[in-house]
Amino acid sequence: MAEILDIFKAYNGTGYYCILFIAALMYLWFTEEDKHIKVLLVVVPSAIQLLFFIPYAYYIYEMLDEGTYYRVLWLLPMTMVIAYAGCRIIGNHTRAGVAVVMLILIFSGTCVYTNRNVTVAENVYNLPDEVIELCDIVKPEEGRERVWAAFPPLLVHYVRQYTTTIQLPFGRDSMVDSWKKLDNPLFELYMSPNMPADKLTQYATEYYCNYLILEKDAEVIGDLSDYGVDYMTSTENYDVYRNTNVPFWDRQEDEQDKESN
Amino acid sequence: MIINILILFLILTVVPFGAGLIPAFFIKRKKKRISMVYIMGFVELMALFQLIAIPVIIFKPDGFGLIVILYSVLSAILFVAGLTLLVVDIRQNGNPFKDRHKDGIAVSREELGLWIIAILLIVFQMVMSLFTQSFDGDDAYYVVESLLSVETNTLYSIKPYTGLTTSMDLRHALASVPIWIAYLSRISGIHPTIIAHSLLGFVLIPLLYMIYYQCGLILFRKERKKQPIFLMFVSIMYIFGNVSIYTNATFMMTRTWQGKSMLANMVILSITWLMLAIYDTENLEKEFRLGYWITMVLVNIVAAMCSTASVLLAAAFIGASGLILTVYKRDIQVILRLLVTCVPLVAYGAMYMLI
Repeated sequence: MAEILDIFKAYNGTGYYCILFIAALMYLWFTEEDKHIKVLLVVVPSAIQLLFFIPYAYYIYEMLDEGTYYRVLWLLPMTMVIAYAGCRIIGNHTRAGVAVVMLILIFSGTCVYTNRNVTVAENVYNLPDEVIELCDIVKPEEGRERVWAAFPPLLVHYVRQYTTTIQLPFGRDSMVDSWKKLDNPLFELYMSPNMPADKLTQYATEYYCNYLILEKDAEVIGDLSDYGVDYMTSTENYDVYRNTNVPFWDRQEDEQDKESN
Repeated sequence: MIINILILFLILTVVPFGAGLIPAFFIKRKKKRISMVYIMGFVELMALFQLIAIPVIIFKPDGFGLIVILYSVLSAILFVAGLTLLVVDIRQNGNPFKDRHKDGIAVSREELGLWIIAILLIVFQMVMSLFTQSFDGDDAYYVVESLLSVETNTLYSIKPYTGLTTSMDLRHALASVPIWIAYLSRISGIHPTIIAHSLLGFVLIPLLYMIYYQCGLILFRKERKKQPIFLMFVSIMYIFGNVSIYTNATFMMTRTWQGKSMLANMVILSITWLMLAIYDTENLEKEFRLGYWITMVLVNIVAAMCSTASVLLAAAFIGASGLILTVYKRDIQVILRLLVTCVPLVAYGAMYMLI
């Protein structure tokens, strides 16, 4: 039960919209005259709300789709019920009523455009400009099918949304703690505060990385050029290196090698 | 680029309208609205996509090209069939949109002003969807899956996160929204990430409000002035609905293009609208409700297209609503009919469990 309550609290955040929803349900329960509207907008949501708190419902749902029980609350027509009740309550006092209800809704909620994950679009891809700049530097030349490049963990979400011709030694699947993941020493190295140049080269080569992208302030112990990793260029926050230990992949050569073997 | 965008919006606006004339043909004339036809067509074409895509995804993992051909041909046939029905209807009965319910009262300046504010609020959200970007880790799967299909013609056989080959992940593969975005990209020639992040909001946000508008028409049948006010309140609650990362409003505004957002908003809302319409006391003639029933079945196919969890959620929602309506109406046929519309959900659920 405590888990369900936690999910409910996390879903409702500040809780003001939840309070408005319950108030709207109560108002409509006593005032709505149309039977079928009352059933669909008051009785059904109330029943779903109660069902949500039944532990058996939680256990069954979790067996089928773990970690997403909050989605049951999507079945509550909160927006419609609050808006409908709001319209009913204001009656014929249109101007004052609309202004008051809108102010209540504004001050009870949180503007989506102030969310820290929502920013001004940098380009039509809605990806960071610097990621596109880095991808354009390392993406395969014409005639080549793909390259492997190690990007800093903060950027791996974006790279393949721009082009899938860049393959990654680790991606988002390494980033989410709760997911089952394979050991990836290159990822571990990228996450560590300092990176020995020999280890970085060794793992990058084992993962066939043609390129390494490192944060400018990344602590690399030793000189990468001593191990065949040459500095190429920089963007505002990242340095790009070419790992000469790994040749570029060529489908024809690969198929010829396989045939000769 | 302008031509590409025009092609995209042709596919997402004109074609659904034509296809929507088929289910809308079975709706009472005075209840027929252009926006209703468009919603029905959009749902119909999405459902068609799911019906075509799933067998191809399962049996031909390199068959994206086949999906493109089949879907293009069949949606063109539905478009032409819809237009043919419209022409027949016009010849026999005149303009079907002319008879829509009118109360004979002229639109007042106040009402007009309210409509302008309501529409401006919706346009504001559309514009913001173009000029803002939101970070969501799930895009590393869904958007990349779309791009992979476009660039490699494969379906769920490459790991989106890294690019390595993988066995098919059915949990995601049965929900074909990323492949639908890939289709839009292949036909329009626009990068799927641009379609998902920048352009789909221009279609899905108005679509959402068109569904709310249909609900408003039923809720405020006798108070026309309340319809724009209802949309204004709904808009404000979407803009300020970011009370947590889990709410349907947050999903709508920050992950508009993802299947789970479509489920949380368009699909569940459509089910509510259709139940309001089907059991509307003003809508008792059975022959005029057929269009809503057809759309309900199609919405349930679209639910399965959005995410695997949708199957459970949509079925539970319809089941609970049907059960309560049955008790209120003391009519067992209510639940039986609603359960028939859940057949696609049961089929996709069984497919997920068995394969």
